[in-house]
Amino acid sequence: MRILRIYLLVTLASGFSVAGTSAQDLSALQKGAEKIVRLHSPELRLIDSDKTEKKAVYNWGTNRKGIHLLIFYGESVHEATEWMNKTISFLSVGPGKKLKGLGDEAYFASSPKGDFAIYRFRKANVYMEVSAPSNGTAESIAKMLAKEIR
Amino acid sequence: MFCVSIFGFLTILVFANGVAFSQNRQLTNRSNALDLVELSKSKPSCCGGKADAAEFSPMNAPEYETYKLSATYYSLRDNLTTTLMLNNKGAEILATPTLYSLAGTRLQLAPITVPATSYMDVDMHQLLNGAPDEFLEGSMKISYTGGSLQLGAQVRMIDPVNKLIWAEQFVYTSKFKSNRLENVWWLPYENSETRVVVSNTSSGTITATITVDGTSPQQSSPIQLTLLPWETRVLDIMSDIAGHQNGHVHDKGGISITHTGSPGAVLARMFISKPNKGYSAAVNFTDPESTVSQKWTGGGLRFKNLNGDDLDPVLVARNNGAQTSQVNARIIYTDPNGAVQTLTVPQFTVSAGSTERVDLDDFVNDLPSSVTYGGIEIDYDTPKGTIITTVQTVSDDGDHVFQVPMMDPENMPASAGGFPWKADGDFHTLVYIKNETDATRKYVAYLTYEGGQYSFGDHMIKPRETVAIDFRKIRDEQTPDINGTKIPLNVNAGQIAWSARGIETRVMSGRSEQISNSGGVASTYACYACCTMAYYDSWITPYGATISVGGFASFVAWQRDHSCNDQVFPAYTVDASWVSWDTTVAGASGGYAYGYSPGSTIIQASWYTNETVGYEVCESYSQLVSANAYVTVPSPTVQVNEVGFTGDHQLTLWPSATPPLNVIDDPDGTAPTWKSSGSPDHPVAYSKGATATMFAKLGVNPGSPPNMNVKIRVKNGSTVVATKDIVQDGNEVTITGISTNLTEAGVKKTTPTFAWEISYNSGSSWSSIGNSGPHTMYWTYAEPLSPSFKNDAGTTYSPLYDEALKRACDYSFGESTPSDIIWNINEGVELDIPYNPNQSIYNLHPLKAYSTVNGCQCSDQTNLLRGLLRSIGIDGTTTYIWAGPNASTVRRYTRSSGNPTDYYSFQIDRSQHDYAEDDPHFLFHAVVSTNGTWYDPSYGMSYSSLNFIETAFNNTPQQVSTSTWGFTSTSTYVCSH
Repeated sequence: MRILRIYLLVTLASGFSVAGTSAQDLSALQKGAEKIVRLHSPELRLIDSDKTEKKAVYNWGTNRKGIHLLIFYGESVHEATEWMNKTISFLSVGPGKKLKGLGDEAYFASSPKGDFAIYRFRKANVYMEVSAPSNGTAESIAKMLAKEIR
Repeated sequence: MFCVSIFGFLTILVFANGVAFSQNRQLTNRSNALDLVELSKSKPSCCGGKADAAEFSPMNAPEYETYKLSATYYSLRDNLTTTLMLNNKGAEILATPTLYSLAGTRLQLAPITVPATSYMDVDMHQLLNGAPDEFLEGSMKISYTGGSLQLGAQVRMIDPVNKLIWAEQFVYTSKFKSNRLENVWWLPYENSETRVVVSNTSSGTITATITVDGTSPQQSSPIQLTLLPWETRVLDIMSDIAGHQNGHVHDKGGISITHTGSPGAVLARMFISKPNKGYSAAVNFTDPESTVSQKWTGGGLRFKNLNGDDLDPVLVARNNGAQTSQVNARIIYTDPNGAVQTLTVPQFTVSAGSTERVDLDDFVNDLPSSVTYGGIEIDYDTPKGTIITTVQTVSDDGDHVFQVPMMDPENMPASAGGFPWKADGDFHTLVYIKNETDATRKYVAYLTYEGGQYSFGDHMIKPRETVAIDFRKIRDEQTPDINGTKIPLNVNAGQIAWSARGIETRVMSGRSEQISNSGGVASTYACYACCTMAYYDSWITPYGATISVGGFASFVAWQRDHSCNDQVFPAYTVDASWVSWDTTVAGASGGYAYGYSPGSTIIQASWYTNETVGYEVCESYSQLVSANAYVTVPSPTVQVNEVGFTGDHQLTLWPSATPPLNVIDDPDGTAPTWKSSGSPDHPVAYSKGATATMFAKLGVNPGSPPNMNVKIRVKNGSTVVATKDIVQDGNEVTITGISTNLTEAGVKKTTPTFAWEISYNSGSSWSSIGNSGPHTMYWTYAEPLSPSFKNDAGTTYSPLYDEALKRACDYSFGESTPSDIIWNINEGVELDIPYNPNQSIYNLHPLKAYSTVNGCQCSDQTNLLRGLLRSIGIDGTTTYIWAGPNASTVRRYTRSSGNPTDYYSFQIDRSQHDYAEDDPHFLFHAVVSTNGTWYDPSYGMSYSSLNFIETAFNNTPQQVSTSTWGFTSTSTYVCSH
């Protein structure tokens, strides 16, 4: 019990630290995002990351189950919006249910068996995709990421 | 003649052609003879005892007998310093002197120990200390038990005041053939004193008849002399022989003696002196019947003194026959270029009973200054033994006379001998060896001294050539012999041994000459051995050697000889024929072994050498001998260090999808895919049916010699896939163009490990130089197609990624037909990539599907499948399927059970799969189309058409296109599912 309390304190402290990180550039946003996932699911191994000038893609876990994260850092809101529209318009199934309260525009979809959930949202000039094996995980991370964007 | 000695101060002239015989009879003591025994004690050797290095062979032991040597005359009177020199060429012996007074009284002294292979000088004054006065003068014998000719002896009488010396070599009287004795003299100074000593060496009374030619007045008639047993008579030529109290002896002449005894029963010697000139000589008498030819030969005719002064050579010939004789003479020398030259002396006539002198200086004056000695050969046309000769060279001031002992070249003893070596003060002891034949010969020479032996080695001597060896010069210059031995500078006495080599034993003559410039001394001494030296043992150095492949080692064949007196001499090198027992391992030639391939073998040297059979009467024969050395050729440390491929498809390492691309081996053939250390382990790709070509880099330590031809081969398991001839050079060898038969018939991945081998013997044997690999090799269906990949965003990717080949080849399972290959890859993608119609990698490389968690949608998987196929050379088309009114428009609808923002254009009949629902609704679906077949990696299926079970109002036609729709229309249709 004492150990658990200490763990929670550390986690909260970390959460405050993440929340305070500036997301005004992709690099800072990447670091914040990586930290969020690492703290949320420390058991998952980063199996792939692909970073370009405006984009970063992360995959933790295995290619069958884990956390997938895509960050697009547009030069403008318009660019991020276009990126989002193009992405969601070419889905075989989706983009899912439109959400409110997660950035400026957000969607949520899940698998019929509930073993997959994906959140797509844009906040300002940033577009993000977060998928996970459960809705809870995906939602939790998505919300923390949304807060990371300032 | 077996032993000849000439010794003198200032002017010396002694020559001896005496003949000895083996006297096995017991001497009969005269009744009035006085026997004195053990008067003398053994004296130490001049060399301080037996030489430490002297070695005697345990085999072929000579037949030991008792031998006797005789001398005509000795005297301790007139303040003469008289010395007995004993020269032992064999093992230690006891020499027993017996002295006879002039009247023939016998005095036997105690035996003298003569150490092995040494000489010793015995003071006869000490030897005869206490003996009656009658033994102050007389004759002498030496007896010993040992080998024939093992002991040589010389008695020297020296007048130190006038620097006069008379030296007489003891002779084996058994060698005399007749009862005749002849001599020839030449007196360089008028009014010289002359005496003739005649000695009866037998136990019987003998009558001697003496004739002299060369006196004025002439002898009126020969005199007759009765010699009692062992009696010695000292005669004045004018008064006792010529029969005239007044008169004089001519500058040249001769004396003839006949006697009634057995051959050798009478010895005679002529003693000459000119005290005011320091000139003295003891002239020997020759048994004319001992000659077998009409020739005389002499080696060591000096043209210049040691100090470079010119000398005048003189030839004197006496005809003791009844016919006029025509005499020819040739002077033979070696010019500065090493060529043997001949100066021919014009023929001259010697009438019967007369003596002629020929000055040879006119012939030698023009010789190059570096030519200081040579040889002389004489022949005549009257019966053998009728011409007796003496040859000597005289200095301009008359102080030095160098006598050349003359020998019958067809009646020589064995071509081997031993002499005392004297090098104290400014004495030089020169050894002259003369080749008496018309063929090139070989000879060896040794110096044995206290504590060591020096080998002059094995040398060639040209036809008729005379060579000289100066051991003092060798000592002073500290010239090492073939064994590295140097004669210590403090060594000034020893014994020289020489011998001809070869199966012919009577081909050379040899003698020594001792010269002292400061003392005006020159002497000659020739003492022959019973036989030439013969083979004793042999070996090779080094005994064994390790040679690297391509390297070599030198070997030397050594032989030791031993004398007929069983002295073993230091080893010398021999010319041999060399063979290797295993020429695949090493070759052998000229004393070198050459490493060819790893292994071991024996290097054998063989040569013919001479052996002797018998004793004293020596029969030589040639025998093939051999010696072995062991050679090891270790495996070279050749190691394959790098391997690469050429002619292969150029691969790019995944995941470097964006520049700079990590292109493998670019340009082709420049970068290895495998290294023995820090290997990149890069894959390589060929189309099926093609053969791989490799390049490699070998490390060689130690480095190879230049341009060494070897073979290498490459094995895959037990199969040889490549063989190539290469040139190995230095520490690193780069091999290109290694064509292999390595190929595959199907699409697959192989991981061969190659065993590399090298052969240094044209493939007869192979040695491992290491393994390379495992090499990852992808075998495609055909030439890969570019660009290999394209994503949904329309981005194309040109590089051929190793990851794509890895996946495609793994999936293909070696299939060779396109339909089977595509089916397998289609199924592989389905198995490896979860199908998730709700997640897209849209603008990422399709290969990212493998690392995208939670799967990806149909178009991503289709793009992946297409890219994998194109990577192995099979084309396919990404085909989009939707429902729409035309090929550029999709008609979408919603579902009542779904989200209002989710749109669909059709439904198909499929079971639930991965993240897809049962009988799913899709906005679109994607497959790879090839040859009329649709391959659906999302479901791992193939089909030729897709049946929609629902569209908007179920009346929307199916659209199939290689590109997506450009327009969207939204239907009011709401699916009730």
